Amino acid sequence: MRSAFHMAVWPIVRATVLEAARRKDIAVLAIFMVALLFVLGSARVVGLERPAAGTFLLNLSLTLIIGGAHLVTLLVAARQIPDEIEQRTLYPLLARPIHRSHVLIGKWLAACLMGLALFFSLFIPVWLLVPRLEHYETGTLIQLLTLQPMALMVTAAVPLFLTLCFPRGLAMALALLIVLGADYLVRFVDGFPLIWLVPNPSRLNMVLRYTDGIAPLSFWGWSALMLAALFWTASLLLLSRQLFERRAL
Amino acid sequence: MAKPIEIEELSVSYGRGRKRQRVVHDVTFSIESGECVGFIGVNGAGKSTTIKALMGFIYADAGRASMFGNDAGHPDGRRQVGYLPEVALYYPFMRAEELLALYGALSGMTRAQLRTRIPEVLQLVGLAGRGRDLLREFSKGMQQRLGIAQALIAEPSLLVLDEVSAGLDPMGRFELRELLKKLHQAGKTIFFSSHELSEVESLCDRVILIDQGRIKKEVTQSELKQIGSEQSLESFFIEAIRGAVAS
Repeated sequence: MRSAFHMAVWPIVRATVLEAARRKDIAVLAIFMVALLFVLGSARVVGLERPAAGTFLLNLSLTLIIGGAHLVTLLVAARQIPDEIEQRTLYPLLARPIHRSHVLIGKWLAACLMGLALFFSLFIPVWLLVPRLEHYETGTLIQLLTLQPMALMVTAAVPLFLTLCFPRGLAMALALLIVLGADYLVRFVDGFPLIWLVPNPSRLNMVLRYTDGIAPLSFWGWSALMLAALFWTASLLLLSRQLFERRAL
Repeated sequence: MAKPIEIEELSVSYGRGRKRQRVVHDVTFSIESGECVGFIGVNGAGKSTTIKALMGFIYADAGRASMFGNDAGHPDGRRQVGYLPEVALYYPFMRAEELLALYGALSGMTRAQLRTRIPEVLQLVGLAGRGRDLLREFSKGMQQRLGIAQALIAEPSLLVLDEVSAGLDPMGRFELRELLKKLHQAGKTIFFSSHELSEVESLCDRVILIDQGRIKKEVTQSELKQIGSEQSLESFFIEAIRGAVAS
């Protein structure tokens, strides 16, 4: 007996990844990122004398690949439902013996996988190419690598939810504001519970902590961030499901 | 045994608040297994809306639509259904065979089944050898043929086809008619909406005429033949819509 995931979700994930990977905008972004990393990596060949310069390059590279991964995730997730509705491809999809939530989960998972693939495929060359001349905490690196996939999960869920509430342009603008700017927004309400209610993928970014050589978060601090990411993702997906199930197509 | 399609006093509205407008009013009909039924009416008559409500894409205000005994929208009802939407621009960056593999997999087909079935359906709809082509290279007519292929991929026992011949050239329409005839002879239940009266005349066991969201008339094949011998089918339907024909 094939599971619902194998039968209903996985084919949608595969098709979405395939389609998204062939689009020029994603390819251009990926080529741009690889070119930029090549330039940064050349520092190893030329050689760096000042350790601070190495740290700056490492910080810049990691910031760029994380930013790129979030941008790809956001772009892929934001176009899914509006494109399906505009091109009317949602009809033959939903004419199969599947639930609407399967489509939603498949689209979300595909956007996550696109971002994750870009992140890890660029992280490895950065790790190998950019010189590390100062002391960096391995524990912080592990936390960075475990929190980043969670941050991408949140980033994929945000535009998926917003495109079910608002027109595509507005949804995209709001999603960019949340994904890139939520950290600045919540500073105005510091100490208020809202800080944990607003989905904030930037809060899970440990790059600065890592490149500044700061010790890892406590286990409870790390767990709180993991739980917050799960809470944001689950809430957004559940709300999206409610909206999508009720929607007349 | 449950009928492939049963619609009872179905009413559907669009819009919200003051702008809410009822577009389908108390529509009732059913389709028996093995029947080929045409659903005809002018633009905006409510054909596509009725079909969308049947497929569970939109929700009814009142009444019931079911397929094989399952309420509209329930996945089990769609297990034996092949559906062609009115217009669809399939994913431009996918290949034809990838698209069919996607829909086949979602219908529960295995990879081995798909390997043999995909070339078969592409052959059936006249797209043999085009499986590796990207869909952005497909013309409107080819997209429609592909749409028919995706509806047939899982060998459904019921076909629901919305504006089946839209975008096809005369040759394409002829080939489609022949294909639908073959499928009907093979025992498939077919329910399709169309503007093409010649299609309806040559294929259907029964025709349901809808106008302004209400069923105006149901005509059997023998009645169709009789009408055809006395007057043109076109003038008969125009009169039916205008209410000149006594029901």
